Amino acid sequence: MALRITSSLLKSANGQTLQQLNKFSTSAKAWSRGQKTLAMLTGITVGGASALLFALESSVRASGGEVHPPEQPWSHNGIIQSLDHASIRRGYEVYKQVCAACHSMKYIAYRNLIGVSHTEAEAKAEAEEAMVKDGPNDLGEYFMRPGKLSDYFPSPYPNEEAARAANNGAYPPDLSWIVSARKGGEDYIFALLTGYHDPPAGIVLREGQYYNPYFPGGAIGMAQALYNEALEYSDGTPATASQLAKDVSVFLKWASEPEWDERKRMFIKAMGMLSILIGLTYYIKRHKWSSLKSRKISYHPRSKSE
Amino acid sequence: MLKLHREEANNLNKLEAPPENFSTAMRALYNLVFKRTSTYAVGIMASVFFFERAFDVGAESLFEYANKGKLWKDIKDKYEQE
Repeated sequence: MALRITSSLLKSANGQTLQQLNKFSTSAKAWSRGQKTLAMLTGITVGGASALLFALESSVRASGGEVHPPEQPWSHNGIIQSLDHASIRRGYEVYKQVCAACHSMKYIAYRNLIGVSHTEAEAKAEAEEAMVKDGPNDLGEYFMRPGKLSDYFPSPYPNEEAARAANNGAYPPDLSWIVSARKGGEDYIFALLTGYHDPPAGIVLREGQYYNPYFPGGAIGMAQALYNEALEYSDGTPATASQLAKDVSVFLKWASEPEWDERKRMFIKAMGMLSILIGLTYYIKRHKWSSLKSRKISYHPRSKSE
Repeated sequence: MLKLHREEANNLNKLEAPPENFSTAMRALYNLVFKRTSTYAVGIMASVFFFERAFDVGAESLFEYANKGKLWKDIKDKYEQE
């Protein structure tokens, strides 16, 4: 008895179920007039909106006087490409010896370098080169001590006002996340660092300004910093100006997106898992539908003589 | 009524036998693992352990193959002391 009741409860209403299932069927079927109109209207609205957005974006790109940075063939371009860690290490050397004279990187700590571009011992040695203000001690005084792994990169100026006063009023921006903060990212950084040249006729620069077509407005407060042989790489790579610019761009890219490599790893795993799941989903759909798709319903009218 | 009940119970028992078209190996696997919920659950947990390990190692080696020479592990020998 119990079995009977449960089995009758579990029995589905076939007519209704079939109608609902029909909406999910993958076999070819005709669309109703209303469905066609709805699909057409949706298509027109989405298409029109995208075209409008594209046109607006293009017109904004065409306005303004600055040159857009060309796209460089970075070795980390591509869906599973990691950053070049030898380049990050050279880029740190460039930052430390050139950029750090004016630019801070106050959100990057020495410990962040471990396992990326330096060993733990090397990162400790780098940190100890910097003097850090600490305190108060038990006399209530602040004192200087060699840096530790947990310390952040030292800033060249104590505050923004001091930085402006030392640079003709121009503030050298913090470089911690500069690649994410500028349109064009590492392409822009590379183009800016290698793009200095004499101002064209008609452009008047004030004192302490330099001409760079990639900088919005053209007049930049930073002088060209990277020249051939501006420093010597510890790994012996020839230090041309473009090599210096490339390495420091990759270093700043890492500083802005330190999770880059991990993201590529997760992408591989997510895509692998999802492709397994999509195969399973396809199989289960076919499996569940096989009985519905292969069944036949026959109608035997009762003859009148019966 | 009672008869029907017993028939249905028999049918349920029949369901636990492996399907006819299974090979010997598949039949053994079915009887050992899939037949009982207890062994099935243990089987899932054990195979998850091996699958996840293999999947992670595979994904990592694909990443390292695609980025040979660029990763920290490729250059750290030059800088490590001892």
